Amino acid sequence: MNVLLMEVNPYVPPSLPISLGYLAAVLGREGHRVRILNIGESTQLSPRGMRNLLSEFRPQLVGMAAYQRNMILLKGFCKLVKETEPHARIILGGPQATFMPSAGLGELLDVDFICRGEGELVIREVVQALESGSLDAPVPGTTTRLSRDYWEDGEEVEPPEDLDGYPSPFLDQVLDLEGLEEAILLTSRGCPYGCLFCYTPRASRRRIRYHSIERVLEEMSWLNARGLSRFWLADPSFSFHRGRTQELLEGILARGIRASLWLETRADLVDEELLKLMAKAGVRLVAYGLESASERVLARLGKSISLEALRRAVGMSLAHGLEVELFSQYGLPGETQEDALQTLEFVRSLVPIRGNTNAQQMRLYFGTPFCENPAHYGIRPLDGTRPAYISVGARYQTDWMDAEQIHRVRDLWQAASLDGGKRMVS
Amino acid sequence: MNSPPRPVRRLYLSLGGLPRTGQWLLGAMEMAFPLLNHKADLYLLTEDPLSEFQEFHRVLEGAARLLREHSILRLQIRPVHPVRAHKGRELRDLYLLISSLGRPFHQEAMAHQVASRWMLLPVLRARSEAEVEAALELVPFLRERMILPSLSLPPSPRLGEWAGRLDPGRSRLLLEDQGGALENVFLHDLLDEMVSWSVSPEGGFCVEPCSSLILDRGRALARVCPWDEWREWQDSDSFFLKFQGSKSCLDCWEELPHRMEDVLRWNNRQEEGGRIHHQLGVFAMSRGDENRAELHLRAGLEMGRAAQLRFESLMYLGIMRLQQGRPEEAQELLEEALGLRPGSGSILYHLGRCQLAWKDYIEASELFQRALAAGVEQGIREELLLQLAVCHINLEEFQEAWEVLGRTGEGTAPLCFYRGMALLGQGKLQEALGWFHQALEKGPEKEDLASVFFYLAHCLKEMGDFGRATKWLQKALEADPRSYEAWNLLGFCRFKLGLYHEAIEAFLKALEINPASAIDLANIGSNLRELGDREGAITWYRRALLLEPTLGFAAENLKKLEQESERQKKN
Repeated sequence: MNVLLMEVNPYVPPSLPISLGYLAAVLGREGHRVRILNIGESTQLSPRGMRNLLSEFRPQLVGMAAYQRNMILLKGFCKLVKETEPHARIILGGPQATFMPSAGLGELLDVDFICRGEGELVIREVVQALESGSLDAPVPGTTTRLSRDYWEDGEEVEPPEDLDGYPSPFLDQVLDLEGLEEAILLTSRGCPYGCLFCYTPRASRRRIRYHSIERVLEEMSWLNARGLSRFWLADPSFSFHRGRTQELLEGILARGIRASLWLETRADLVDEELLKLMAKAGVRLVAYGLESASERVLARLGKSISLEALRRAVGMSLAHGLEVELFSQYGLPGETQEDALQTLEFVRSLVPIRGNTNAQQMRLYFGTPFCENPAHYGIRPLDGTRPAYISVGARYQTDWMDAEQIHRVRDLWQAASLDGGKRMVS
Repeated sequence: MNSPPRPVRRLYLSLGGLPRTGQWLLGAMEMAFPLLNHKADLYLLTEDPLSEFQEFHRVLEGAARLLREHSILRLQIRPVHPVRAHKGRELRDLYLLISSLGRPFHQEAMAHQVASRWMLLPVLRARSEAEVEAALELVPFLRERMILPSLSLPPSPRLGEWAGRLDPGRSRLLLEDQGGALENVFLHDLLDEMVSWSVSPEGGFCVEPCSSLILDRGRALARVCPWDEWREWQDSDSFFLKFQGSKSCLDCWEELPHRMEDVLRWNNRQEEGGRIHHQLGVFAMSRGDENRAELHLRAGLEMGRAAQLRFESLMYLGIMRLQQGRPEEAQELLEEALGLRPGSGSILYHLGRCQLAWKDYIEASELFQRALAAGVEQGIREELLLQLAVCHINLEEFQEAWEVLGRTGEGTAPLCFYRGMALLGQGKLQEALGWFHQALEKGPEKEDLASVFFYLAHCLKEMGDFGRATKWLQKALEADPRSYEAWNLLGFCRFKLGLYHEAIEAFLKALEINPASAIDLANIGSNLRELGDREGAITWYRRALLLEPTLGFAAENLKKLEQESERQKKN
């Protein structure tokens, strides 16, 4: 079967679509023809170019990675797909899809499936169902449109414990690395913590699953051989398993892998010895989640981290020559304008405000406790209609700050920023 | 079906002109919209939007309809028109009317929490002081309605004052001195494109033709830039099939930053202009066009005041001087750059290269170490480590060289080669041999081939395998017949193999290249001695000692031979 996978992110430069790479590798192993279309800010693509691509490749299935920010354009792409290849089926995956209300399908008339489970398993199920030729029952792991106005949820799919069960997008060479300066790698998936603003704990059922050290090192060596040594490790909590982290870093050193690493972890998951090893193995930058510099606000976020631990982790990281980024947000439950400014000052006292250290207003995304029950947390969505496939996002105020105050905090962060407030990750 | 060279990023529509029906323009737009890039600008050029309002509005309605139809597109709508004095009120009404066309898109954007797919960004032209006043009065009204205008003003001593009232941070200032309205906006757009180009890591090393399309309603013609030939616009396939471009795009790009100097100044964009010159300079360097590189880098230095830009321009000029084999001038430029950013790893590295050019390995090594400590870009780190290793090898610090090379990647041919050198220096012959073979497998540059063959042979010679060493030396001499070292070593190996005549032949070749080599003269003597030609040997040893009286083995052998000769004479 021909499968087209699309990453549509035209507001920022294109980055490596690693998640689609996993899907492509899985499907490729089963003999399907897969193409990845990665649309970033600098990508040049016209409606005619898109139609030509569809007519030439003739996909029977089109998968699109959905985020809140690209839904407006995904609708257009879905329409264009159906106009050009009316028999092609469309599946929406990605963070916006997992917990999107099924009612979204009522407004996304060109979409046939919403992916609810792990993409690698679900897309295989969908392809099998399409190949079998009948779609009279919902496909496992999806919400399946069974007729224009009727859809049903399929059974849940159980993801494998060992991520090595999935073929590597790198080693299987399904990703286009042309002109790329940095590769994104996932050495693990999932997060065991319970931050109430975050989608990951629920999506991963609060467990972490890993790739073997051997597999990660193999991928890094493979990338090294292709001239890539800058790696963005996109694991939500990279150093959660200390022994494994140490083993991985030692493996990088033992194999002489050239690595310049960006990683994200929690301040209470590092220590002096580990940071020393990180620096030795090529870690260039560590990003820590701070969210707020108010212990009271942190408690309301379900983020069990102490500011003292964070201050200590930042100090140790800098002492070992690592760059540090701090992720923080404003517009949080329980956060007054004074609390938000306290966060700004706290961050400024530790690291320069630029890149990912620029704070952003918290977003309420589908699947997060804050989004499911905002009133319970003192969050008040603003008036105005929105499609069922769009979550509250940043359109809210709280019992502690109204929209105007939140905007004022945004302006203050922007004024304090050394680079105009541009973040790389959201 | 043929596709255009690239998706069209800017579509220019000229209203007015000869009396063709507006229907043609709508049809032409229908054909052009599917070719637009997912983010594109739509220009509507008119001399009088008020008298041409019906057509103006109809075209915008058409654009709104097409944008709804092509819902993967985001459009910046840019009406370009003069602002006649005393027509401010009518223009306000006009904008109120046309801004309502964007309302459905703004609502859509609001619901999706992203920017609208329809943005109205007019270019208000003013050719007299009265028109400037009218345009400036219109600006706040438009801004309040989220319509962000640019102003195209005439050259005037009052420009500074007008620019101050405009707040260039929020509105772009164009100058009405670049030909007609279309050429004017076109060139300003091109300037913006060049600014993006100059900061884009992937785009800064090639110049592609403009991704524009100009439609002329009056004549039903089209072209891709103001210097292209007009052609019929009947269908997009045949139009783009004939596209050749009548003017070199690179020439156009090279001209533009000079031509737009005033625009850059009045918009406080000299830094961007400097950046464009800088990037054009770097681009010229990459093409090997040193004259143009020099021109642009110098212009960049004059235009840009930002320390970062000056730093980079000085660095590139320095690198260019190094490539030209002028290390003294390179050092001067690089030191000036270092003054702007003390301790810069990149500059310390290139200063180290200057020292390397003078073979001052101690100084070079020190600079390379400082560069490493300061940190350099990944791209030059490997090269830096390699050069540092070369210094250590030349200083016979082989263990240090090996350690430095251990910090590099798996390997290019030079890295493998110098790893071999570091091991050879430590007497680890078998391992060294392995690395030299790896260097060979990696495919060294042609000019390095002889060295790889030579050191393979050298290793084998040290291991006592003179036969295999000879074979590699012959390859080394095929790659570089003027290699003195290879002839000398070949002579030595042949001597060891008892091939005395062939050895003499090799030493004579070595002497052709280096006539003052006492050792080769002496080596010939030794071979003659082995062949039993005592007198011949004595002659060659004497010649050697005349050049180098301290040549121990020659003196000793000569003494023995002379004594033997003396004894024979006595007998």
